[in-house]
Amino acid sequence: MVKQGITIVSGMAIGIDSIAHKAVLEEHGNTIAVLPCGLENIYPEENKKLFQDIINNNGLVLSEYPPKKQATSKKFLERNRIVSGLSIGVLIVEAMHRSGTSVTARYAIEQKRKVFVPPHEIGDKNGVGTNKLLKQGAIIVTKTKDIIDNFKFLKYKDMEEIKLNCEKKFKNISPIDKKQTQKDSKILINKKIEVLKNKRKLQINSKETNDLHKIYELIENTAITIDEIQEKTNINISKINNCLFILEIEGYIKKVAGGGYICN
Amino acid sequence: MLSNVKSITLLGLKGHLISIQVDISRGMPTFEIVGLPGTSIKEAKERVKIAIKNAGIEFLSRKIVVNLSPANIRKEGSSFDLPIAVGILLASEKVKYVKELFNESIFVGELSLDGTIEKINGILPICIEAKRLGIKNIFLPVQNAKEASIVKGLNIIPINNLKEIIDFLNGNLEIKFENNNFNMLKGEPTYDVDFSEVKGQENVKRALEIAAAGGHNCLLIGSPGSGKTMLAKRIPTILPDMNLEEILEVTKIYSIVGLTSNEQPLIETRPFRSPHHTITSTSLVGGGKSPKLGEVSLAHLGVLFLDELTEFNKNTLEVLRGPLEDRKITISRINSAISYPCNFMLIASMNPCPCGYYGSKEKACTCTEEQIRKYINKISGPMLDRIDIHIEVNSVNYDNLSSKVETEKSIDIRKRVNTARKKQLERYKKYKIYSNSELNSTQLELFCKLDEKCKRILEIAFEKLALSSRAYSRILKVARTIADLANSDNIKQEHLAEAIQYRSLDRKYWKH
Ligand SMILES: Nc1ncnc2c1ncn2[C@@H]1O[C@H](COP(=O)(O)OP(=O)(O)OP(=O)(O)O)[C@@H](O)[C@H]1O
Ligand SMILES: [Mg+2]
Repeated sequence: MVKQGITIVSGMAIGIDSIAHKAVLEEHGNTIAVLPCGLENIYPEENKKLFQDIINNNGLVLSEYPPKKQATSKKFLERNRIVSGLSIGVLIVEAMHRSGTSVTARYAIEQKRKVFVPPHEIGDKNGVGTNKLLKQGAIIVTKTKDIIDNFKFLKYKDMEEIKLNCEKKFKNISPIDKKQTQKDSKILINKKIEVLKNKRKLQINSKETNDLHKIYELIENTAITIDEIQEKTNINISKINNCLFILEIEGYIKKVAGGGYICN
Repeated sequence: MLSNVKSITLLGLKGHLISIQVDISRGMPTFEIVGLPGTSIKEAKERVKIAIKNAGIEFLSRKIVVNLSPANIRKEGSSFDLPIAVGILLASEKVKYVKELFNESIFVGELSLDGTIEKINGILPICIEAKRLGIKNIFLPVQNAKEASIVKGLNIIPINNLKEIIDFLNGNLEIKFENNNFNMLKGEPTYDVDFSEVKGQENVKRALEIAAAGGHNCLLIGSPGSGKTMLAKRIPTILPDMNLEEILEVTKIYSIVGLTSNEQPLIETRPFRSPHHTITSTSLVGGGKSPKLGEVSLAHLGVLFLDELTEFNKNTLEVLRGPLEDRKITISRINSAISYPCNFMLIASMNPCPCGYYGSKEKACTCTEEQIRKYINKISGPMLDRIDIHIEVNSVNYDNLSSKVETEKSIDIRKRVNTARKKQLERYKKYKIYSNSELNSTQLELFCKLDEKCKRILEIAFEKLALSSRAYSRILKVARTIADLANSDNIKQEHLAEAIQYRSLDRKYWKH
């Protein structure tokens, strides 16, 4: 999502909240944290560093409470209405039965925000709440693109485009101006490809780009093995390995236990 | 009268000439063997006495002294029965003394009580030494004749029993050995298993092809029944073809443990050894009172497969470190040190966690993260340091695959492996190493140069994938082999990328 230029709002709690903020910072994206406590009384204690990191990286930390106020479980739930209120959509990754996350979803629905939920297996206790949301009409998603496509004013940027941004990070080419990119991305990218052709760190020819696309399309959020990819694409194993490597270090996919790959 | 008969004994794989001197004199009827005989030789006394009697010759009631010289070599085994018996017969003038014949002949063989001459172990290295010493004739058990004839230029005289040799030496019997219809090398080695029997698993097969091409040790990680054992058993079939020298080396080892026969005098296939995890360290690397060969030597030039690596005793595995490094094992004795070769490829297998199903699609894993961490940590760091390739094996639904997919035969994979190995032999001619896996750190710098681009990629990969630093040299070596398989002189990005994929255990998701 960050790579798509989306700002991520969350609650800086332990778990998925912190993971989300940290992921944004790693990618130098934009993030907003909404606290259930005063700004001078950070809870939880161990997130003080994250608090500093967000502020130092052009992030925003908000609180509706006076500076010294302590966090309480009631405030946790109240805070969530600001999280969803600030957002154009809410992605609920996991929710147990009657959990706090379910409350966020309720606020989101009241505030007429879109609610996105990845599917969980029946019987998965972390999926009880999300499956219930699906029944109530939440939007089922498996990829970043699924979310982006739900907003008419957003356009999904495909890998090529992001790749260029990524490489920019590795190689100190003059950074692309964000506004300009949006206005006239096509021409700019073509120009950049020319510049990059000789200087690229990762050598990718057009045939490989093709393979990259084919392989990336196959990778969803249940693990797929190299053999399965091979069977479906007929690309040879060493090429597949090479593509998976590129996709992985670019952060699109992740290797998991058992040797399979999932999308990020 | 005094007689002198020659024989050859083995220390390790090396033969040593031994003189058997027999003196028969008047006096108290005794029978003594001197000259550092082992316990098995002291037992020869009774066998020789009774065998001579049963050959129809009155055993002399005289004072008999047998001296085995040189006395500084400890003699073991039953192969001295025949030369001792011949020495006694000669000293008591029961057989004719022909100076040339006895000077140019050696005698080896075990006697049974009825005078039959039984097969002995180690005939090949004995014959090799005999030829080196310029010996012309070798008197040996019939069962050993074919193996002995591997060594060209020796006159082989196969003996059935003591009676026959007496008649032969007295000129009353002719013994002929037909040597010419034995075709020494069959050409293509024939294995009774083949890679084409493994359906699917293309990714693992590719990894094993790389392992075979570069001589890389390999760890297979997968749930029960995923086919780890099946795959490992087939690795010898894709290792490079053995040359004659290597075939002889393996045959020598199998000869001294008695695993060769007239039916199979030469070992032309690469060994596959799969010791159980309850094995002791002595059986694994060899040694003991009368030094025995260990599994590592029986796996020489082939594969040593440690199934369920985590079940092995940590101390047992510790003793593998030396042999893995030196490719030979030295067993110290009181007055000698015997060394056996053990240049093997290590293939290990393990489950990904105690219950076996971590990351599996068939069943949910029931282990806690702590249990998994403990399980993985059972393998010691130094052991892991000697394993270049880690690969996950997933079970395949091979019933569905069987008809539509054509699987490659071992011989086709082996062709590619041969080509890649030839490149390595050529490159390392001056360095006394044979494969990429043997590169030391200086050689690594010399032969695994990376250009700036590749260096940067490796840096990014280490950072992004959180690889541990011990992965570095392994990745380079494996990348070198992948480049060799692709017939490329330089390591390129795609070679590095693929090599990095074979470092599962260094990945974050194992470390928690
Ligand atoms: N890819 C395959 N193609 C054909 N047969 C297979 C394949 N994989 C497994 N099998 C069959 O499954 C049997 C079990 O495999 P194997 O014993 O090698 O598994 P394993 O991984 O060693 O299991 P364990 O962890 O229990 O030792 C094999 O004997 C073979 O018959
Ligand atoms: Mg097994």
